[in-house]
Amino acid sequence: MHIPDGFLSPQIIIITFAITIIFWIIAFKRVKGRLDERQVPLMGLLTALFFAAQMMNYPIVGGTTAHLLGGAALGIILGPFAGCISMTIILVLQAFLFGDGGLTALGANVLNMGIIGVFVPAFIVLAFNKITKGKGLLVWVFIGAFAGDVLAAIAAGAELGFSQPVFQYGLNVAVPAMAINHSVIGVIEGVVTAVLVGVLLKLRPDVLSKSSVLKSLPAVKAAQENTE
Amino acid sequence: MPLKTSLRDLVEGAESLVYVEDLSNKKGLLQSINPLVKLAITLFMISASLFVPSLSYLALMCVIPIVLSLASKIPLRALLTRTALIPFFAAVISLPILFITSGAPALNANFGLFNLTVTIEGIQRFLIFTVRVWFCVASLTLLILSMGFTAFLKMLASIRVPSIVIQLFSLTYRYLFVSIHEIQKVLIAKEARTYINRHTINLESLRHSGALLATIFIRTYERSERVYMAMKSRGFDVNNTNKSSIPPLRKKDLLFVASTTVIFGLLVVL
Repeated sequence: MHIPDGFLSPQIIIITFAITIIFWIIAFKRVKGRLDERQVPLMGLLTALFFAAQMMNYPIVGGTTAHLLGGAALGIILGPFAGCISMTIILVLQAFLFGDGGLTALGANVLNMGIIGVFVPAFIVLAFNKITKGKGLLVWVFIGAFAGDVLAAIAAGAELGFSQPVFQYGLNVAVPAMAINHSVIGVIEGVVTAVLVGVLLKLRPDVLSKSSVLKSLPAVKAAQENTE
Repeated sequence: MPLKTSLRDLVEGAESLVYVEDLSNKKGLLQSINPLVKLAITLFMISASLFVPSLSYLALMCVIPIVLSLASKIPLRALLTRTALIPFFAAVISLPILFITSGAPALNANFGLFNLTVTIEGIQRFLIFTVRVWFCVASLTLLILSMGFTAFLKMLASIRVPSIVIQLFSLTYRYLFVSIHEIQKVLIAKEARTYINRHTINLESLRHSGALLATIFIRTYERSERVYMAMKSRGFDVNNTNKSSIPPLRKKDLLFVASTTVIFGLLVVL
């Protein structure tokens, strides 16, 4: 889903950067107040973990493989604002160290994977967690991760489609191509994220106490009280 | 999970980071340029290429990354191998353009029911897109290979990125190697205990992957506490980043900016 340089038109580059910068400012202001000295190493290490986890391959069909995006997991576990900053760090380092995703496309890539891919799963889980009071949580984690992945892919397709004539194809080709491809990856992302959250809730619910999405769960509250 | 490809990607990722550090320490043209100037020029070069509609000018522009690579002691082979994949992908996805663009026919192939015609305009559109993507990828690759992580952090500080964010970048980079090693260990341990050598996607394998990630997550969480203690005992302060600023602009930087601007300005205007 990393859009390289040379694929987006100047107008789309400016629009996506403008939206992303607004989110960066809001996310940083929200996180800055809560990010104490002890949490900086935690967030750095978790960002490094998800960065490395993106290098793990999952088989799809015919010998092809897919990578985990990790946006849903970061959004749900760290909260959407901290997750957005973590994902931004991953995407900036991927662009500046590996050339994955372009410099001019950084705004678009952060918008797709660091904002849509993080906020959509977090809000889906948060909303349904409140409505269902924690029942069927892992199903909502799956749906959130799947929706985040597919919507991020649709946004990438729309950005490419609107970039004609710099990009070769219009919306009618770019959006379905991205959405269909990422529906499969979305299922993988959904299952892996749901199992990850499920295992953490079972084994170490205290590590989720900093998550604005999951901290209201009884298991997390109880674990937090025990550690205090 | 296909162990070989995962391990290969992890090892290649770590090797690439070390290689970038090696090249960025060489004494070449780009390595001697102020990192902020390098970033601005790379952005300018990539943006300018979007406004160049002529194939011949784009092809001419592609000489610039090659010349800069030679002047910066960056092996041409490294530049070409690192820039091969994305333009190849761009070429594959734009192949249909050869056939669906209307214009003067250049080639015609008859397959009974199908009649495929490649047009001259189609070839031009295909080449403009692929060559432009190569130029953009090559420009970014040169920036990556000549910068190094320390210069990258200094560049962030010079554009007033908050110190907490710089600390996060620094920690993420440092612990990326540890995370890569941790994932490798867990993947090999899992493979050694797995009897079924079936690498197809199914719910069971995805559940194993999620559980594996959870295990690494918990280990990382526990390590972060130890890292914090170790950092604190060595005087860590979240607001105190390395204030050593990047060197001021020199004549060399200004000359580099002027020459690049003139070359690209001419290519865009002409």
